[in-house]
Amino acid sequence: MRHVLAIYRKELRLYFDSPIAYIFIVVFLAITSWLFFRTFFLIRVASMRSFFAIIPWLCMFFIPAVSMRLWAEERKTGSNELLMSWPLQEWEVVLGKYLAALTVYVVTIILTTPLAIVVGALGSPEWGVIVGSYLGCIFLGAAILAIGTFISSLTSNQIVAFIVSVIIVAGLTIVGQPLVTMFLQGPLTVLVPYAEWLGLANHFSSISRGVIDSRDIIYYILLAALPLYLTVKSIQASKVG
Amino acid sequence: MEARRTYWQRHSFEIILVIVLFVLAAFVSERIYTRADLTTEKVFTLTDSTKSVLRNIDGIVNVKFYLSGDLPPEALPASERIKDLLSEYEAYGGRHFRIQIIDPTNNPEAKKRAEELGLLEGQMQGLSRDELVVKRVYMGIAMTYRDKSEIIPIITDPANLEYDLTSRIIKLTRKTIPVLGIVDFSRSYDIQDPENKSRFTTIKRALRDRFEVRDIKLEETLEVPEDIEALIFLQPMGLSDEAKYVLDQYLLGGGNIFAPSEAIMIGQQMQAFPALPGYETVFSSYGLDLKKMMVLENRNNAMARFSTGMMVIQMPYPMWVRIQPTGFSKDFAPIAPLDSLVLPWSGYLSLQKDLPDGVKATAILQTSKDAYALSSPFDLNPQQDWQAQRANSSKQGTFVLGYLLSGIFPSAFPDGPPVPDEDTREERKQLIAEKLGSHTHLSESSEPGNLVVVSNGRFLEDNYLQDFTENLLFVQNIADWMLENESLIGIRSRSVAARPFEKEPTEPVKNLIKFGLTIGLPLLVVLFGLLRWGIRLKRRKLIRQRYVSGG
Repeated sequence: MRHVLAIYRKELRLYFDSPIAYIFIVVFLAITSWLFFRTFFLIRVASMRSFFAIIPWLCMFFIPAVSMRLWAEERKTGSNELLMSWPLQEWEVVLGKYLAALTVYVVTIILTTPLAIVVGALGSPEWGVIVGSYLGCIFLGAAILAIGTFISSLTSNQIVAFIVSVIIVAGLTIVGQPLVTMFLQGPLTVLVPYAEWLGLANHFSSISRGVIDSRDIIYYILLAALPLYLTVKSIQASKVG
Repeated sequence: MEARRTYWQRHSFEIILVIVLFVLAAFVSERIYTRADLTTEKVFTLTDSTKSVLRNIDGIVNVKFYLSGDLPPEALPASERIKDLLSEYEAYGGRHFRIQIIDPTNNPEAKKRAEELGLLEGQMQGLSRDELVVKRVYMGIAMTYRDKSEIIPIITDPANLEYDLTSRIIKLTRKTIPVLGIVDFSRSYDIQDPENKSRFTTIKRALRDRFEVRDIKLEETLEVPEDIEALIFLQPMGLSDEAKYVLDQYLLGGGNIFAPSEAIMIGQQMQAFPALPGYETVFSSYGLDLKKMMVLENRNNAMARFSTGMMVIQMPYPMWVRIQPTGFSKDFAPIAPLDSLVLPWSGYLSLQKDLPDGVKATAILQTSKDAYALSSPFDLNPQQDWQAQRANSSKQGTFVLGYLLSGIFPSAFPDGPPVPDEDTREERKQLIAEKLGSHTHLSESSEPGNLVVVSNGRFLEDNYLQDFTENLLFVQNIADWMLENESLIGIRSRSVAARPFEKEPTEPVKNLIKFGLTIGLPLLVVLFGLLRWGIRLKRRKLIRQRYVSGG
């Protein structure tokens, strides 16, 4: 775990020493706040539902922007070979880098809490729902970030990593939405529950209304763990050739 | 490249195995799961009754929620609440409960289908850019199961939605039609009527559309057939002791009874008297008394028509009490969403000091606090001074006009079946011996039963239902509940507080919040970054200087 922590610290410093983390945080905060306040004072309800409703759609673009450089840049500059020459296990490197990127995302999410303070100052919101929704945001982000990490490990081009990650995450986000399931007619209706299970946003909608379901949590854990496992394999493969 | 490919090939089995393990874990998690509702009112926690109904669906219940996309902002919380609750049903119903949300706006085909299903386009008003706008929108649900369908035409308040959905699922998926018994003692007012038919034909017709309705000749047969799941009895005045005993034992056997009980009798010449004793002599043993005083509401009343010989005049009539939305108990889901019920010439109900152990009483219908009660002799004149009547009345305040008693009842006949009088006809004696003698006497309920009593026997008569159709809805909901109450038990009306702003900020404050968080907060992050960059530059400069000076 010592090694993981060392990698984590190094990566985190790298994020905050470069403009990447700041650009990410600033754009994310500005867009979420702007979208939230478009209707907040019109509806006049002390709730953050509209804020949490947009999170999956924003994460679809923002998190791949963070994850794209995780491995692709290392491969491009060849620094991954240097990194791998250290006496470290591949999983330690993968986990350390992943946790650093996740921290950037979590910090961003924490920086949106002034919105919750405003909501609390104007009325009596359901605090349990808000806390649960924030927890859901972290699970959702963790899963998307893991997917982005894996894609990044497959290529040396950051742009390719970004585009492919966005496509996969977008596919996973909309697959369970009525927009897609309405086309599953006739014998294909048997696929509807599977499509809904696979949908990233479907699992988030339950959490965002204040219902913590073990199925949603396990879904996000599995969706984060599998790409991370595949990333380790991908790094091991790149090491041999 | 070749080595990498070989690596993947060598590890393909391991990778496939891991993926299979992940799929297996996902599969298990779908079967064994738990949910925690973080809302304070537990609004997303479905009752055990609903969960059980959802678990036992054989086949697929398809739910189409017709929801207009251009709802006024005020309707958004309600629409969200409906979607949330439907998702909860889906979470528990799994593959047996499918939801589709359809926006009929700009979709003529969907609009046509909604109309065919009987869904209504309702009017909703709201504020848009500080202007009051009225919009015609869809917010209704159509449910289909095999060849059957049920609808909720328009949902204005989702508080009662769990009851509405679950009761409809039960109706759709039920394999047999429930049997409702009606004991009708009434006779038509029309003395020329050769058959001297009932005064409750409308209600019977309406109930026949939904259930198998059977007329029970209680006095003639002295029995309630076993397959009767619920019983309504109408105008039960002058009941024999044997008939009362049969009703008592039916309730104690776990039966469900709806008993509109007459408190005030109205004669042909518009004279009014306290009604003759009826079923109230039985339910007084269960802890409930029917008070034969007339309840009046000077404000919350219905319009009544009176003939003055030459013409018919219509006027508000305080003796026809109108129950307001707040008068329907929110703890009794079947009637919680109703907003009106008219009870012409009513008495009221009162609980005895000590209810028998095991009996739970719920007041389901209440007047406003401005009501009052008058004792006999009653003056029915519609043009009297009502304010003076109120001032002179001995009882003022809120009156309960409907009670639900449920649980374990003691028998109203603790000593067993009544013994017929000596002068009883021989045939009757034989019938009593045959029907009551063979019966195992229950001194208390063998199963929990339900008794709904309303202190008015005439509000379901044909002539009142013509003018007050809401009365029909009331009895339909009660009948639905009685026939499905085991499956619907515990479902309560749950109003979801919309949690509006407690204080409305002024425009400058709104702008301050809006711009402060949209621009100010990101700016702070930028400043922090610049500060950190500056510190790093300074530190780098210092290090460089140290090396330079050191060199």
